[in-house]
Amino acid sequence: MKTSAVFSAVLSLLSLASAASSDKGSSKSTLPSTFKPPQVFKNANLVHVISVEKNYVKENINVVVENIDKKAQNEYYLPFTADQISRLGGVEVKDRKDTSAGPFVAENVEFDPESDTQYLRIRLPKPLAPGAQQTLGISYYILKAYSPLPAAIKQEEAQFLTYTFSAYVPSVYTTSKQKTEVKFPSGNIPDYTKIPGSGDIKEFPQKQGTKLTYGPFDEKPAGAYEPIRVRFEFNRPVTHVGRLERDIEVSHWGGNVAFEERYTLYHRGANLSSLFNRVKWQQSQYYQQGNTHALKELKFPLRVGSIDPYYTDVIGNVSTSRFRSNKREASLEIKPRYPVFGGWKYPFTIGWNSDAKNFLRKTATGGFVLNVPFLEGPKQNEGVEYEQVEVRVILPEGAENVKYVTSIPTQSISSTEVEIHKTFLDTIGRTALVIKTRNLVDDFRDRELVISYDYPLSASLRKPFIVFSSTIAFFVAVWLIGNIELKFASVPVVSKK
Amino acid sequence: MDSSLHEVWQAASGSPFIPTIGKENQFLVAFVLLVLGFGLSGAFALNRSLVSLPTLAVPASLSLAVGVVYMFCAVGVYV
Amino acid sequence: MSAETLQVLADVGKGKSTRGVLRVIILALIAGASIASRLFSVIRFESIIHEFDPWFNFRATKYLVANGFYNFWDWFDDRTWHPLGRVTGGTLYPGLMVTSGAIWHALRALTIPVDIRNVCVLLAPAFSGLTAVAAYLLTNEMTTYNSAGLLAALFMGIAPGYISRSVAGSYDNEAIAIFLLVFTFYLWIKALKQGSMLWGALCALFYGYMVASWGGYAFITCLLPLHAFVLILMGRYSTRLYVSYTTWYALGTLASMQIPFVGFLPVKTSEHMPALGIFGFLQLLAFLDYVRSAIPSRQFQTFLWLFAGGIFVMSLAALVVATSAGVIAPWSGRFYSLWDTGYAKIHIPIIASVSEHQPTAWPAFFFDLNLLIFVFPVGVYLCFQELADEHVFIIVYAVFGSYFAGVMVRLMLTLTPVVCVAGAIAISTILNNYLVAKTPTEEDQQAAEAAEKKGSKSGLKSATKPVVGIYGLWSKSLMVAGMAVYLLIFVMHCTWVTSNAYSSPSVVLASRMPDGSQHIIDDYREAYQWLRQNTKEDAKIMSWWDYGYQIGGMADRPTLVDNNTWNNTHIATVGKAMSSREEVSYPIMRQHEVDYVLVVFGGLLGYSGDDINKFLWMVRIAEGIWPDEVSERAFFTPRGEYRVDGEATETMKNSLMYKMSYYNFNNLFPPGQAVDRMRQARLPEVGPSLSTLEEAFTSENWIIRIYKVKDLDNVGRDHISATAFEKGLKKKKTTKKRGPRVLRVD
Repeated sequence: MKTSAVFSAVLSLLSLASAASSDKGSSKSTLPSTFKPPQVFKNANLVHVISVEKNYVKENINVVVENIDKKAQNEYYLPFTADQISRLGGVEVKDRKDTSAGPFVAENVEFDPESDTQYLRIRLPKPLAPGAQQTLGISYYILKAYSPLPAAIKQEEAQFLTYTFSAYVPSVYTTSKQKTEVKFPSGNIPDYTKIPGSGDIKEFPQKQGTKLTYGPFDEKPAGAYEPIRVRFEFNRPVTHVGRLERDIEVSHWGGNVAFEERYTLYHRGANLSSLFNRVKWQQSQYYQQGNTHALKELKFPLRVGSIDPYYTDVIGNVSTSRFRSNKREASLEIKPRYPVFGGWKYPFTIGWNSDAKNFLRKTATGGFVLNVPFLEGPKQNEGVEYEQVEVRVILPEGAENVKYVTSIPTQSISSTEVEIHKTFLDTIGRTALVIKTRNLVDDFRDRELVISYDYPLSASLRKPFIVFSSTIAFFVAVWLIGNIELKFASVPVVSKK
Repeated sequence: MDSSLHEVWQAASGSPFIPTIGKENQFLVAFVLLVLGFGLSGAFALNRSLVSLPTLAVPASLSLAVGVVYMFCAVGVYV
Repeated sequence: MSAETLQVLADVGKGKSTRGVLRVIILALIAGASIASRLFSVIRFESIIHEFDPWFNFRATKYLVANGFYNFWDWFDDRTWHPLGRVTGGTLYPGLMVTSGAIWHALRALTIPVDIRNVCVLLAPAFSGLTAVAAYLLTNEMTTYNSAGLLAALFMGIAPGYISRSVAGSYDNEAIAIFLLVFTFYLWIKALKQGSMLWGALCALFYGYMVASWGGYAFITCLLPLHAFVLILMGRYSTRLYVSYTTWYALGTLASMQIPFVGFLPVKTSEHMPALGIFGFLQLLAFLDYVRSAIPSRQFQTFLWLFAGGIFVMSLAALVVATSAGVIAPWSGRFYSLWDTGYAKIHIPIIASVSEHQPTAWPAFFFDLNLLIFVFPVGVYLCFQELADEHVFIIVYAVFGSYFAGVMVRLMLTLTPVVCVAGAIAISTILNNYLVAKTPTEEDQQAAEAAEKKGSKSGLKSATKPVVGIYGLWSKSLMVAGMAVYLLIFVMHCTWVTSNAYSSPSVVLASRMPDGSQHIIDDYREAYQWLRQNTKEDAKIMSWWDYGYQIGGMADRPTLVDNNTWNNTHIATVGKAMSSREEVSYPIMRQHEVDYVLVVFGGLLGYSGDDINKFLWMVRIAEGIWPDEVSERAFFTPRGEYRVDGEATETMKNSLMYKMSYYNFNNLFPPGQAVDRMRQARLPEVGPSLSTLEEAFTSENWIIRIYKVKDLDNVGRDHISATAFEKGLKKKKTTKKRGPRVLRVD
C-alpha cells in the first residue's frame, strides 16, 4: 500500500500524459524499422527467475547493467518475440539498490510490425554515466504461456503443462554472468531439458525441491538462445479471463458506489479426452477431496462494507454462491454452473454495492475524490490472468474536470478516454472514464485508481429538475386541455348521468 | 495538482462523502414524497384552475420530482 | 402543507367528485393488488421467464428489439425445425412482442433503459392491472351499482383462473389477450348500447389488437355474432345493433386480415363463418326493415317468406358448395376436439399430449374460481331478471364460456372474466340489499303510513307493499358478516393458490433442505448454459418438442422440433428416433445432422415431468406416422404394465430413450441397488450400453442428460461392432497393465 502510494505519485504524471494523448491508443512509440538497439550496455551479472507456480508466468530479471559507451545512456532494451510481446504485461522496473527511485518507465517499442523481434524499452530516470553500474529489477508477466501435454486427458487424471524458454536471458547486450532459476508449483517435474554444465557442475539443471537452476553461465553474446522445455504437474485450473469489463458507478443521490464485473472465463488447460462423466465427477468429489484440474469455485474477497452481491450469467441468476459479510471481511464465493474443464468457457457477471463513504471523499476545494481498487478479481491459489481488462468508472451526470492516477504499470494500459454513458434518468449522460488494459494478472489486485472530479450543484439538481419540468408541463397541459374540454362537453355529460 | 491526487485523497480523509438522505431512509422519504405528490396531483385534478397551478401543481411536481429520484435509489437503481 | 391539502380536498370533495376520487383510488389499489399478487415467483426466485412457450416469445421479442419491426415481420428462423426452418414472422401472433417492444422503447425515451427481460417478465402483471380496470368498466355497463364494478375488478385481479396465465414471468399471449378480450367486450357493449359507430370502431380496433395477440380471438369472433343472433331471435333487432355490429365486423375483419398469420382466414375458414353470416343476415334484416316501412303489411308477409327462404337456401347452398370446393376450409382438428373431447386422443395425439388441452376435472373449477363458481349462476340469474341487451350478452357468454371451460383446461381462462362479472353483480346485489346502512325509522314510518293509507283502499296490496327491504339488524349483520367471511376466504384461497400452484417458473425447481432452508435445483439452466458455452454455435440439438423453445431461448442452439408443433411428421420423426433401437435411430439422427441429444431424466430426484413419463406420447405420435415400425403395445408388458425395471419389455429396454435415461445410472449405486426414485423401480444390475452415442454432459441432479452423436466410424464399421471391438481391446489392455507399468510418454 505504502510503496504503491509512493510510486504511483510519480506515475501519475505519466498516466496523465497518456490520458491527454488518449487518441494515440497505446503507450507504444514508433521507431524506424531499421532500428537496432545500440550496444551501449553490458549485463555484468544477471539472475533470471522464472516462476511457473501460477497459471501465468512471472519472470524476474535482476541485472547489474554497466554503461560501456562513452556517453551517458538512459535507454535499456529488452527483446521479446512478437508473439511474446502480445502476451506480455505488468512490466515493472525498479532500482534494486534504491527503492525510493520508484518505478521506471517501461514501454513497448514498435518499429516494424512484421519483425519477429520486438523491444521493451526501459528509461532510466537518470542517465547512467559511462562505466557506472546500476542494479535493475525487472519483473513482468507472460500470459497464455503454457500448453498442456498430453493435450487431452481423462477427467480424473492429473494435468501436466509445458513451458518453453531460453536458458540464457534474451538480451541485446553481452551478458557476463547469468543464472536462470525456474520455480514450480510442486516437485513433480517429469520432463525437462538437460544441457551440459559448465565449471564443476556436469549437467544443468540442478534440482532442489520445486526449483530448477540453470547456470551459472559464463559470458554469452547478445542474442544467445538455448531452448529449454519443462513439463510439470499442474493439477489445478488454468484460469484465463479473456475479457473483464469492470464498471464502477458512483451515485451521489443514492450515496452508493456500484460495482459490476463481467468475466469471459476460459480454462486453458488440457481438454477432456472423453466427454464429461457425471458419475466419475461425483465419485472424485467424494474420494479425492476435490483435487482436480477443473475449476469448481472462485473466491472474491471484496472490500469490507460490500453489500447486495449478485451473481448471474446470460440466462439469469446463478444460485450457487455464498456471501459472508461482517466487520472484517466481505467474501463472495461463487461456483460456476458446471465444473469448468480444459477448453471450456464460462462467462458470468457479478456485482455488488457499497456505501459511497468508503470510496468517495470531498476535497477542500469543493470537488470530489474517488479511490477504488483497479482490479478486484478472484483470489485463487493458482492465480488468474486477464488478457483484457476494461475498467469503466461512471461518474455522476455532469461531472467534469476528471483527473486520475493509477498504480497499474503503464506498459499494460492500452488506452484511456472519457466518454458519455447514458442510463437511468439521464438526459445528457454520465461522464465515464474508461481505462483499457491488457495482460494483467491477479497480482495487481487492489492496485489503486484515484479519480478527482468536480460536480457542481446545478448538475446534481438536473435529475429532479427534469422530472419536475416534465410533470409541471403535464399539469399545465392538463389544465389547458381541461379548460377547452369543459366548454365542449358540458351538455352530453349532464345528459349521460 | 497532478502528482498530488493521492495527497488530495489523504487530505480529504476527514470528510467522507455522506449523502443528504442515507440509504436506509431513501424509501421512506421517497414514499412520503410520492404520496404527497400524487395526493396534490389528485387535488389538482379535481380543481383545475389558474390558482391551483402554483398552489397545487408546483408543489406536486416538486415532491414528485425528488420522490422519483429517491424512489429510483431506494429500489436499487442508484442514479 | 398537508393541512392546506386537506382543506382543499375537503372543499373539493363535496358531491360526486369525492366518490369519483375514491373510486379511482380503490381501482388503483385493486390494480396494485393484482400486480403484487403475481410477483411471488420474482420474489422467491428471480426475474425469469417461465415454462416453455414464454421462452419463444421472449426470444422473438429480443429479436424484435434488436432487429427492428420490419426484420421481425420478415423473420425466417433457421435455428428451429432444423432442417426446415420456420417462417416465424408470418406464423406468430405479433401483438405480445410488439407491445413489449413498444413499452421498452417508450421507457427508453423516458430515460428508463430497463432490460427487455424485465419488461417481458412484468408485462403480464401490468396488464392484469389493466384487466381489472376493464372488468370494472364492463360490469358498470351491466348494473347501476358501482360496487359491482369494483368487486368485479377485484375478482378479476385475483381470481386464480386468470392468475394461472399471468404471473410475472409467464410471458405468453394470454398475458395481454385477456385484457383485450374484456376490453373489447366492454367496447362492444358500449357500442351496442349507444348504437355508436365511434364505439364500434374502437371495438374493432381492440378486436384487431386481440387478433394480433392470441389465437383465442376466435372466441370473440364467435361470441359477438352469437350475441347478435340471440338478440335477433328475441326480436330485439334495432338500428343500434345494426350500426354497432356492421361497424365492428367490417373494420374488425379488415384489421384482423392485416396479420400475416391470419391473412384470409376470416373469409375462408368455417370458424369465421358465423360472423360473416350474421353480418349478411343483419343486412337482410335492415333491408326488410326498410321494405316493411315502405310496403303494406300483407304483401310484406309473403315477400318476407319468399325472400327469407330464398336467401337462406341460397346462402346454405353457397356455403356447401364453397366448402366442398375447398374455398372455405372445413373445421380444423383443434376445433373438432372442442366438440368431442375424445377426438384429439384418437386423431391428433400431439394435441392430446399437452396437459392443458385435457378436459377439465371438476375440482379445477373450484380451485380456479372458488367462491365465484357458486355466485356465478346467481349473477346470471340476476341478468335474466333485467334482460337488457347487455345482460343477454353476459348470459350468452356464460353459457358459451362454461361449455368450453369444461372441454379444455386452458379455456378456463376465457370463462374467468364472465364469472367475475356475474359474481360481482350477484355479490353487490346481495350486499346492496343487506348493507344499506339506513333503516331509518322515518322511512319505516312513511312506509307504514303509506301502507295504512293504501290499506284503507285495498287490504291485499298493503300486505305486499312495505316488504321491500330487509330491516332486521340481525339478518343484516348475519348476512353481511357471512359475505365478508366468504370474501376473506376467497382472498385467502386466491393467495394460497397463486403462491403454491401458479408461481413456479418450472425452469428452476425449489426444494427444502433438511434444515428448512430453500435449495434451488437449477439443472435445466446448468445444462443449457453448458450447451451454450461449450458446443459449436450451430450444433443441432435433438430433444422432445417440449424443450425446443427453452433450448432456443437459453442454450441458443438450433433444435429439430419445438413447442410450435406445426409439423407433426417432424415431431413423429423425433419420436421414432427416441423410441426405436439404436440401429434405427442412428441413421435418422445422421440424416438430420443431429450433434447432441438431450433427455430429461427424473429418476435420481423423483422429478415427475421427465421424458420417460412422456415417452408413451412419443411412441403414440411416432406410431401415428409409422404404424409398422413403432407400436405402443410393444412398450407394455404382457400384463399391460408400463415398466422400466428388469421386467420391462425388450422394445422398451432397447429404445434410445430408455438407454439414454439410464445409461451409467447404475454406477451411481452399489451393484444391484440402482433405484429409479420417480417410478420406484429397481433397475437391472447391468445398465444399458450405448454404441452410437456418448455421454457428453449430465447435470448435477441428473435431470438433464446430453449425449453426443458419434461421427461415422473411421474404419467404416458400424458402431455396435466398433464398441464391441473396443471393449475387447480394453480387456486386453487391463490384463497388460498387470505387468510392469510403463510410463507413457507422448
